[in-house]
Amino acid sequence: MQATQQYPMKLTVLTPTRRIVEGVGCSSVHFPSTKGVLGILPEHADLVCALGTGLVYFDSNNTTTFLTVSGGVAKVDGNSVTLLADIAEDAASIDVGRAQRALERAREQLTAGGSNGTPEEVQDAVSAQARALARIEAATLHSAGR
Amino acid sequence: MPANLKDLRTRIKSVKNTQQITKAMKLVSAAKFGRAQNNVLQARPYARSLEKLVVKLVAGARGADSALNLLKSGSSGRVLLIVISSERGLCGGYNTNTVKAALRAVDELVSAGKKPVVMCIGKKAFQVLSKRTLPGGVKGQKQVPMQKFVEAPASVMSENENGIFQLGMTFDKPNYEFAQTLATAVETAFGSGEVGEVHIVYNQFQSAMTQVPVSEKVLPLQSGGSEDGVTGESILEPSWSALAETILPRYLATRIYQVLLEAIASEHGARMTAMDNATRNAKDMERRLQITYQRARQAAITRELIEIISGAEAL
Repeated sequence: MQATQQYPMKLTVLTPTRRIVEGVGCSSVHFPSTKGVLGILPEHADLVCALGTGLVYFDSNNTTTFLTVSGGVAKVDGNSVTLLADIAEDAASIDVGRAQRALERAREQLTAGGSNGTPEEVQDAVSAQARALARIEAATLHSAGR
Repeated sequence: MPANLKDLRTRIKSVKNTQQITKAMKLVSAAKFGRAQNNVLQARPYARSLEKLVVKLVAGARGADSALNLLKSGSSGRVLLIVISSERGLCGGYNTNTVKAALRAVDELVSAGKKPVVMCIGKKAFQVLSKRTLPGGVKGQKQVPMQKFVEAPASVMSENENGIFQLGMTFDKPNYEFAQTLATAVETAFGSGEVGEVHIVYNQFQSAMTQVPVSEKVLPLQSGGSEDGVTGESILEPSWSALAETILPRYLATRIYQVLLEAIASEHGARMTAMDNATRNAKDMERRLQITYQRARQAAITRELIEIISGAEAL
């Protein structure tokens, strides 16, 4: 009973192909919306919002767990928080080297193609950069927490 | 049944070989089936949650919004019927059932005054359907490259009026990207007004033994079922229409992805069952042949003995 009082919220993170987190009890959840980071505490009002790209973190079992998400929808319904993300990744499984390379590639594209790239290409590079940054941040925080 | 011993031996050997092949195919399908089933189960929670969200969102819709167009039937009488079958045979009644369900769906659409355009994914249904002519239509023998359908879905629709065509791609391992591409193309065709409705015929996955061929309407989107446990109004961020634009296309892609996954799982399940039956039949046949062979062999020995004994008696 103590545990449920301490961690009254249930977090579920799903992608179209996988279940990342399923019904984990937690005391707070932070996730990126399109307009900035939202922090959800127990007894939050019902909410539906579009997910942006960035870091998700939640407190559970006295530890903070980090994830990255990109695109999708978030739903807060009573004390259950559901993130339906297009892409989601557990910080523990992030390959920092790959993220670093992706970041460099995106930056290169932005500096080189800023003038001659089509708007879509620039948009792609910007979101690739945001994804890479989020992944590096998540991985760094994860390893610092351990 | 061959009476002489040599023929029987060859026959037994060939049945044994067939049995080995069907057994191997069964094992391969079983492995693929396991993976496909797991994919279906992994994808289900997302699809369920999204569906609930759509129901909730649509219930809260106010006024006309362009995002809502996905929920309304188009004015065109043309209906895109997507038929999902397998690329390979030897899977029992799987493809036959799909084709039957497709023809039934076509009949229903025609009697409802609609003009169906049939698009086959997986070549098996196309091989059968292309020999047919849709009522008031042309004989379909075309293959439309995936690229073309993705780039100009609307013109593909108008070119194939009342026809049957196959989407040029190998339907083997469906992934979400493919479902998304397909969903976008279908959405564009629907948005252009070239098609009024989109239906999918596929085998719904129930278990390894049972697959149910069904025809479902995917566009206009159906937010089926009543909402349960909705408590008051939710805060919508950033706005209702922005959310609808985020959610509804994803809902369509998820529907299509789910259908593709179920079709693949059904296919492997059907093949596994079919190959299991084939192996069992081969085993039965081998036993029967073995008995015939032993009888024939014994008869030959007895005959020879009689000949020798009667020869000896004659002396």
